[in-house]
Amino acid sequence: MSERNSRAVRTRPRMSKLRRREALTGLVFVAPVVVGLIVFMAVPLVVSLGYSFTHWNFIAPAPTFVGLDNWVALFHDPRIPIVIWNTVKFILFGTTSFLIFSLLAALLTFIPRRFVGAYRAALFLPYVLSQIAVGIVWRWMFNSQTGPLTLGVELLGIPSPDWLLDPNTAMISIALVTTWQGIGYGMTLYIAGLNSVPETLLEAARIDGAGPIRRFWSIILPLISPTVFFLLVTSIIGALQLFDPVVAMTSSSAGVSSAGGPSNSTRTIVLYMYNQMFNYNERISGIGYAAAIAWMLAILTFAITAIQFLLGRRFVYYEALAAPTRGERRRAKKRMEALR
Amino acid sequence: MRQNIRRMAFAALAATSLAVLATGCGAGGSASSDSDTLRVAIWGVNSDIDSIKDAAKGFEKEHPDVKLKFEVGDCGPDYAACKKLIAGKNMADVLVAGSWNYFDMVKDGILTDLTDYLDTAGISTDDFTPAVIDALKDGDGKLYGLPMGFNTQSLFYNTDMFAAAGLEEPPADGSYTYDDLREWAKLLTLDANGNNAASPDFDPDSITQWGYYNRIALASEPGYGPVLAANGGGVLTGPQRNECSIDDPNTIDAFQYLQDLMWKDHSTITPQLEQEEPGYLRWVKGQVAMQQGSHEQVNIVAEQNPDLKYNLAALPAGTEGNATLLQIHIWAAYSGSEKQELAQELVGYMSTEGSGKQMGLIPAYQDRALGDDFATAPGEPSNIVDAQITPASWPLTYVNVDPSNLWAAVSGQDGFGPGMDDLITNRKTAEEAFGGLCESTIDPLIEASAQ
Repeated sequence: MSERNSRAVRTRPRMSKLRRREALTGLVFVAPVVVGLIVFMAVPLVVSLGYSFTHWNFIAPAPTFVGLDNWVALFHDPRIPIVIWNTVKFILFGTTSFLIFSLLAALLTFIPRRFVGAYRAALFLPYVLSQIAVGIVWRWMFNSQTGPLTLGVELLGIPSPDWLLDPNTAMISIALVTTWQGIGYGMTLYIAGLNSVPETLLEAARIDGAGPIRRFWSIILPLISPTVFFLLVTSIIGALQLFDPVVAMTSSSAGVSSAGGPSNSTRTIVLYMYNQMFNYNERISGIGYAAAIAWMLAILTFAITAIQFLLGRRFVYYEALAAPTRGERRRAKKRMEALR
Repeated sequence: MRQNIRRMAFAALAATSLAVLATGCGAGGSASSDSDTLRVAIWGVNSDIDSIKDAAKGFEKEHPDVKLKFEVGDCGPDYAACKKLIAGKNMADVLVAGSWNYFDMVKDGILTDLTDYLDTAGISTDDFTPAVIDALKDGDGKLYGLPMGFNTQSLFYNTDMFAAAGLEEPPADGSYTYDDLREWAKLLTLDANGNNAASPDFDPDSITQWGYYNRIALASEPGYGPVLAANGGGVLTGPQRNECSIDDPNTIDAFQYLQDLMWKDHSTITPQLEQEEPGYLRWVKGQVAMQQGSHEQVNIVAEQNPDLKYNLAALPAGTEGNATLLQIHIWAAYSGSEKQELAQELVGYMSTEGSGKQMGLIPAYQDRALGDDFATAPGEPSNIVDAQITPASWPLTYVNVDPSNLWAAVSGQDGFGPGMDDLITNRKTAEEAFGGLCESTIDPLIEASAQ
C-alpha cells in the first residue's frame, strides 16, 4: 500500500470549513434543548429510579438505602390492583368517549358553514381551562339532588344516578368531564386529518355509488387512522396519569388524602402515589415507595404503548401521508424495470 | 488556534446554558440570606392574614432591626406543602401549624423543641388554657409549638326561627341533650306548605327551611367528633389516639343518630345539599335554623349577613355528658432555620404578648379570651363565654391532634372513608358501614403505620 493510500485509509474525510461552521451553529442552537432534556428528563428519570431503592420522607438529611424493599412492597400491596383497575376503568370510558366524541365534533364542524369558526372555538374553549376549576364546576353540575345534569336527566323521565356519590357511576362521571374538556383538542387534530383526505378519492367513491357511511368507513377512517392512532396513544398516556379531576371532584374538606371515593372507586395510580408520598405515615410511605409506584406506571405506560404500536402496524394506514420507504422505492423501481 | 477559540466559545455557551437552567432550578430554592429578615409562613383568608400582621406589629416595634417577611401559602394547614418547601430548601423560619398535623411535623423533627426557650424567656405553660397546651405536649412533656388560639365547636342558632316556632332558645351552657336537639331540628324544618318535619303532612321533597347542619355532610371530624365523644364513642381513642373505636356500639349509635337526622327526619343538610351550597352558608343566609360550627361563623355573619339574628350555645349532652372538639392553630419555629433565636422569640411573642385577635381564634394565653381580645370585643354574641370558652374545660372535650400520625390513612379511602361515604349518602346503616371495621381494616393500618 502506498503512503498516499495508507493516509487515505487512516484519515477521515475532512469537513469543509463551511460545513464545520454550520455544524457548530446547529449544535449551539440545539444545546439549550439538549441540556434541558438532560436536566429535566434524563437526570430526574435516573434519580427517581435511584430513589425507588431508598426510603426518604423529604425531611431526613439523606435517603436510606433499602434495596428492593419498595419493589417487594409494591407487589404485596393490596391497594395496587385496585388503583390499576380504577385507572383501566377510566381508560375504557374516558379514552373511548374522547375519541368518538372528538371525531363527531370534527365531522360536524368540518363542513364549511356560517359560524363554524365560532362553533370550533366554543368546543375548544374548555381545553384551555384549569382542570381543577373545571372539576369544581362539574362537581356542582353533578349534584345528585339539584345539579343541572340531574334535573336534565329527570326531565326526560329517567331516574338520575347519584353521579359522584355512587361507586358505580363516579368514574364514568369523571370520564365524561375529561372528555368534555378534551373534545376541542381532539377535534382540532381530527380536522387536520380530515383536510388531508384527497377529495378525488371521495369523488371517485361517490361516482361509484358509495353512500356517506361507506365513504366514511372505507376511505375517511383509514386515511385519518394515523390521527386516530396518535390521539389513542397520547390519550391513554394522559389517562394513566389521571389526578387533578379526581382530586377536584372527589376530595372532602380533609384534602387530597380523602380523594378517590366513593368507596375507593376513583382512586387512580397517580393519586395513590401522591398519597404515599405526602399523606401517609406507613412504614413504606415516602418518596422511595412513590418512586417505585411511578416506575411501575412508567413500565405500564411503555408496555401499553408498545402494544398499541404493534397493533398500529396492522390497523394504521400511513401510505397516503408518508413518503415511500427505501424498500418501497426499491420495489417500485424493480417493478418499473420489469415493465420496461 | 481559531478552532480552539471556537471550541472555547461553544464550551462557554454550553456552560452558560447549564448555568441558566441551574439558576432556574434553584430560583427560590435558597433560604433568605438576609440576616435581618425573618420569614414567616402564614395562611388563611385576607382578614386572617391582616390579623396576624397587625398582631406582629408589637414584635416589629420591639425589634426595629428585624424585618418580618410574611409568605402566604398552604404550608401550615397542609403539611405536604411544607415538605415541598423543605425538600426545596426554601422553608420559612416560622410557621403556623394546625392541631391536625402538628404531631406529624413533630415526628419528622421539623419543629424546634421550645423547652429551653420557654425556661429562658420565662414563659409558663400554666398561663395557657390547660386542654390546649396539654394537647401540644408530646409523650415526654416537650412542647414544639405554642398556641396562637383555638376554635371550639358550638351550636349557632337563628333566634328569629326559634321564636317563630315558639321554641325557647337552647341553654347557653349546654344543659340540654341531643334528643332535644333532634326534636328542635324537626320542628324547625319546614316544607313549602309550612308543615314541620314532625307533622304527618310534611313533604320532604319541598323543604324550604332546614332545622340543622352538621359537617358530617362533608365527612369532617369537627362535625361528627363532638357527637361521638358526648355519647362515649370515637373513631380513634386513647391517649395517643391510636385505639380503634369506630365499631364500638356507642360510636355506631352516634353515627346512626346523625344519619337519621339527615335521612329519616329530613331535618339536616345532606351531602347532596352540601354539594350544592355549603350548609354553613345556608345558615348564614337564614335557610337553616341551627348549625354546629366554630367562631369563624361570627366573622362570616358580620361580613355576609350582618342583619342575621343569632346566638350560640354550648353543645348538648350525650349519654356520657357534654363534649366538644377544639382545633388549635400553633406558632412554631422551623428546626432547620438558621435564625433559631429570633424565630423562637417571635413564636413566644405571638403566643403571649401578641396573642389575641389572630385568625378570629379564641386566645389561649392567660385570661385574654375573656377581655377585649375576644369575649367583649364589639359584635360578639352574648353567649360567647358559655358557648365557646367554658367548654374547653369539659372533661370529655378533646383536641383533634394526631399524636400517632394515623388520621390521614384511617380517615381516607384505605380506612373508614368508604364506610363514611356509605353512611352519609344513606347507602348503609352505621352498623353495616362500620361494624367489624376495626379488625378488618383499621387495626391493620395502625399496625402498618410507622410507629
